[in-house]
Amino acid sequence: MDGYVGSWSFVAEYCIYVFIAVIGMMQIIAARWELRGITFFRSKKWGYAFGAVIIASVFTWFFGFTGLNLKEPTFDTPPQLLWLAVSVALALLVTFVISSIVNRRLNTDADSDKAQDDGIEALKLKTYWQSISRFFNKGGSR
Amino acid sequence: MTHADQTVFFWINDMAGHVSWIDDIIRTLSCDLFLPVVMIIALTAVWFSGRNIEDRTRNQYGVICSLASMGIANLLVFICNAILPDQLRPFEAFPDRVNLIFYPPTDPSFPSNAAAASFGLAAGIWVYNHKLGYILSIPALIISFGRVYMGVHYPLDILGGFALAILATGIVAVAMKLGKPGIEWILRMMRRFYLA
Repeated sequence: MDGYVGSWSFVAEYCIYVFIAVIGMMQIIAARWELRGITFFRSKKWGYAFGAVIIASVFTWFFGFTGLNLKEPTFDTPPQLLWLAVSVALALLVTFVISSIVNRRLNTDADSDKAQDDGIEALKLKTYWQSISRFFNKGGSR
Repeated sequence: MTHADQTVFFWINDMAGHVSWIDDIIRTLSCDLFLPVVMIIALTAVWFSGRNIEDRTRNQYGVICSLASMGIANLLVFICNAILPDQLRPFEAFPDRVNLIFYPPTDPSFPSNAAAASFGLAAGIWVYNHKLGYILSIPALIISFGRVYMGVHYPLDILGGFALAILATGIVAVAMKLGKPGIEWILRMMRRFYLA
């Protein structure tokens, strides 16, 4: 990988760009659908604002301040898709980890059992960590 | 047909190279790093979206169909490139006339891979959610227009890419109908880990 585009520094910048944009989008989605377990903020307004600001900032940074020259070739489709998938997966993982720490005191009362079989729906009432640890505490069954 | 294609191409491409900020905007919007990324981020959002589990499941089917359609459309482009004679890009065929404001791609002109992939994403989600399908068609149209504006594709390349995207979506939609129990199983497994 030589030259700017296709270099590891470009790959790193691309991954950071996608990673941060997905984190921002997840906060907007968490606010919109009231997925309290994966939000970083109690207030929905803060979720929307954080998401919008972080997405706008990272797009501005990537296209305006990284020295990206679109008159030169960027990477091919297969590596681009690979790094895109890696960045999205990492962003989801980090969202789950941060939100589980921030919301560790989220009430896991009896109501939360209702949502157990509903996958993402459970994240309205419990953090990802609370959900997944309950699953494993039950020996992988519900 | 070729004459009409070239005429439309020059109508659009002649607009390029006059106002640098317009060129910059179109180059940014039509590159592989902007709208395709926006579309994928939007699909990530759609995966987690829905008023209830039924709504969300329908969206997740849409995302699966969308990504699979993009993949199959890319595969069809690859097959076309392998069996069809290489068609020169506009900037190669008319080096003195074309306003090339993008990097010069080296793969064949017909069909457009960018159009096939972006319309594949839009058409795939349209099968399960018409409204989202129309919304995602907007970036696909912008990318397609931009490719002609920048001098790297003829309009017919775009139409070829669009046709392959529709064909790919049809194939994926039928496969998903036939393989519904398998998809249900995958979603059930993902739901166990709170990922669907």
